[in-house]
Amino acid sequence: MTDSDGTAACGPDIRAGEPLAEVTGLSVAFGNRHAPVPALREISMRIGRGEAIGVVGESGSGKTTLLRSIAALVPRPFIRSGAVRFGNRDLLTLRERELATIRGREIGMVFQDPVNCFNPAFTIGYQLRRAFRLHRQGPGGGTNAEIGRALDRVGVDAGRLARYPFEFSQGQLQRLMIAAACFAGRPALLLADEPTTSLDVTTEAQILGMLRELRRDLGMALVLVTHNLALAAQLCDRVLVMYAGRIVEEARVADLFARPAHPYTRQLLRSLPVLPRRRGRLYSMPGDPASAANARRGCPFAPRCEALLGAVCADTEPGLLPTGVNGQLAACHRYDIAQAATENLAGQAPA
Amino acid sequence: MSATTIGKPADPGPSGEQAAASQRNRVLSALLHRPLALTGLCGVALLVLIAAAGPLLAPDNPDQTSSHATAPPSLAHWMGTDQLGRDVFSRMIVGTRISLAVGVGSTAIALVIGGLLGMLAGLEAGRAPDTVLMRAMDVIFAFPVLVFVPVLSGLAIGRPIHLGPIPVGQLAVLTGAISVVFVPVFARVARASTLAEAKMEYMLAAMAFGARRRDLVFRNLLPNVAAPLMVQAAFSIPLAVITEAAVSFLGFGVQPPQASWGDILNDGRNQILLGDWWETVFPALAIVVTVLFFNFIGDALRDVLDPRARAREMTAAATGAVVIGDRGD
Amino acid sequence: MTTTSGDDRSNLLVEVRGLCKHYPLPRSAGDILARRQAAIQAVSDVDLQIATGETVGLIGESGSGKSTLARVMLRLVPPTAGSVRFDGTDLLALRPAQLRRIRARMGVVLQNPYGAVNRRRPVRAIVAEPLLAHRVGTKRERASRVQAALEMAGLPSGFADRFPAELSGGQLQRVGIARALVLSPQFVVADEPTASLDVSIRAQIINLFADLKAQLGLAMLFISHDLGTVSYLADRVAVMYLGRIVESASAAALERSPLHPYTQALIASIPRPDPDQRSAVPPRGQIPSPLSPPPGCPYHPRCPLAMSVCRLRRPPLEEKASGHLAACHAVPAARAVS
Repeated sequence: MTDSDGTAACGPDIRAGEPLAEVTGLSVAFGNRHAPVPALREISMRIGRGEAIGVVGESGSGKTTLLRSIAALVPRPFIRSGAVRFGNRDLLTLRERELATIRGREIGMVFQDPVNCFNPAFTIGYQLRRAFRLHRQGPGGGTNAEIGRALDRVGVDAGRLARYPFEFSQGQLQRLMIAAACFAGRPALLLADEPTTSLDVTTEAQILGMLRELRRDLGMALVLVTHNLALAAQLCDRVLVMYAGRIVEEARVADLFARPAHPYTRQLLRSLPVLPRRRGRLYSMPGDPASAANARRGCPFAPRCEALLGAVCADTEPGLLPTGVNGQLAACHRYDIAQAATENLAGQAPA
Repeated sequence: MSATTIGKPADPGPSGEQAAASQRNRVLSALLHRPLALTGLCGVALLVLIAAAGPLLAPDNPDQTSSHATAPPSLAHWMGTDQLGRDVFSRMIVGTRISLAVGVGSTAIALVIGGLLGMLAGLEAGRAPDTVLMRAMDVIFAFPVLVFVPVLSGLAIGRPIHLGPIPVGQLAVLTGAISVVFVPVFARVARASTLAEAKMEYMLAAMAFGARRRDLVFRNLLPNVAAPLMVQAAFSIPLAVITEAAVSFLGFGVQPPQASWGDILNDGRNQILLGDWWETVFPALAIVVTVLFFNFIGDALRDVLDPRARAREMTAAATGAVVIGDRGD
Repeated sequence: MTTTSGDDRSNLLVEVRGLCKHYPLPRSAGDILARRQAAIQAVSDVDLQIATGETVGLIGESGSGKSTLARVMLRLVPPTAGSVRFDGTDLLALRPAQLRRIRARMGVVLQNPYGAVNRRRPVRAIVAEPLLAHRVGTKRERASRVQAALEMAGLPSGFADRFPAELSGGQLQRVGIARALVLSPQFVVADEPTASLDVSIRAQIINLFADLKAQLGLAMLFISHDLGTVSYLADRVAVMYLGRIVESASAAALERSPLHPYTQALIASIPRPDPDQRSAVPPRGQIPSPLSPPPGCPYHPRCPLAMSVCRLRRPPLEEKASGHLAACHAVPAARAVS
């Protein structure tokens, strides 16, 4: 996939059909050996070339840790097991020096609070030039012309390069961060951690549109971490729902919203205060989101679940099972029984 | 209201009593589990013991002159004798009491006065009382310590100063003078802390439900401002000890027959030219060691009580201390 | 200009007229010589009424002045101009002691549940603080009121001895709500109470507010950036942009037929949890700085309907349909004779 100026996207050489990146059996726990604080438990996922994946979850779900693990930003001692393959290399085994050439060049990153990602003591132009020069593989990258083009793509006036970060609004800084992430290198994969959470809703809509266009034009894959299900609906091809450090549902975006398989997803969608306002009382699920750190026996969602099957939910944690629809997966015992019996139970509304 | 209640409660967690103690526990654990802090704590405890026991510990009468003048350290006199034949070790033991008392006492006074003034300034931030107070602090700050304290203290040598009908002895004047010098530091710490805490939402909420000013300050603000003040105290005490030693070294501090470490230093000043090192080295060592002990404690306290440091530590523990921003910036 | 339509005025609890809050910036020597005074115009010329038992939603994005308006209304911040009457009493004319007494009839819930409580006290002390501040009752009476407030907020009695560090965001927000209710206020101001909470808990808190509203007959000012949240609670909604109210209507009318282009853009920009419904094209440009609002209508640089008059004259907030006000030249006013 090439950009309008003819430069090819940087990325690992992979054969058609192979995923761009793949996470296998990833387990992360912070703290130390005596008092580990689990954050991720046996996570596996694939990212296809050019695919947009949403990772949705609340606090304690582990979504941010997952993103950082993909970027190999979690210190090695905390990675208890698993691999993050990007192309044919396992990022978790590479040295920091090698990782530094991949991050920024082949993997772009956008974070939540744009203010904290720019050094207030230097002009935007200076910081962007450094980023471009660092990550461009071609000769003498980082010319003002290139940066100017990048700024145009994200809708920031190129004449403002000489200004300091404090002179820009949150939305503009976020655009600049996206410009640096997408154009300094030529990433095949963009990792975004709550990129619009600190923005106003109108600015968020603008950034949303911009991300859509950029993805289309640059053919980048995207992993979007967010607590906002609606955002995932607008931007992603596939969605992973995380709860207490595990993936509890994985589905194509249309399937997830039309036929949510896991009770958590179902209950969450029902409790969103969307417009137009639904008649009657807003549905709410009881309790607080579980965290991987407090995970006990059985399904972590069982205390709040309205579709409990029985004692099995409190005893055994369900694995991620196929629901039989379009490759949709859900970590729920309901789909275990359904497999043994008929396929009619899949997607059935809770009793 | 079944749908709006908590439902099954979250993981119980520690009980209230334990959590109340958790701040104390954190402090204790910080002090006990870090080797340096533990050393400092033990050292200070030892010093306090020595100061308290005082003359009881001294092998000889510290004021007892003898004919064994300027004798080097030996089994009979562990730190040798001074030019009047007095046992240096005994003098050091007794001197601990004065040095520590002046150091801790002046810091305590400065903490209370400076803390209150600083909080007041912070609450009136930007307005007249704040400006007046802080400029007064600046003036005190700018005054050369080793001019101010000796002068004040020297005035009381031989004859007590009278605050109205109350005679104030020379030691008290010395302590008071040193505390004056330290008030600005505590005032600044208190003011900065007050400014930061006053912006927090709980202060706004308290104003909104009609809390009285007095309650706002003493119930809400004070406990949160106290922590940085404690940390500052841990660092100020050794400075106060040094100041007292310096003033006594100059001869304006504690007068004979009482002696603090600074006085012993002063007595040994001339001897060192003759090669008799023990009268200067031991007091100097004592001062250095005292300063180190308090600094170790202060470092540990700061790590525990400084809210920003704590927040960073918690984030680091929770997320694996990720360093973001590695984009060539 | 009023924001309620010919309602029975006698049960108006809160009445705000012409409220302004400007923050003057420090002036350089050049500014002083040129007689310039730059100011952040956080709130300009706001009229608002809240009747007893009525919930008014206030929505806006950053720079809209909604939080500043709330603080000025409660006199936590002195206004630059305008008046605020609470149950007929002019709040701004009160002396500190009287103001404090009247504050017992108002409750506040803030956005950040962790910052809104003193982290060194247990829950029972936090909720009891307002009672102590106003010297209410004996120790036993206070304890029972604290208990009642905690129950109303949905916290089982075991929580009274916990410390904030042990509670989740949602639980802490309930503590804040209990504290706001413990003096049995008539009026509660909630400033983005769900914005910092997890998604699955937001609905719990929204329902809690709805229940409290129904059971206690509270008047409420509910501030949020999310119209979805507000629509479940508010009877009337006011939309703010750059310090001014640009539209005000019943919640149903605003949702069904927003008149002001900004409101329409705001609603259209909210992402829908439905992949088939792509959000509409958002407004171009960004919110101008409150330091230098555009001349005329503050929204005109971004407005698809902007006409030449919009740049010259600021549109007044006037009735465009029964009970529905908007500040826009492009929307025809209600006919004088209905």
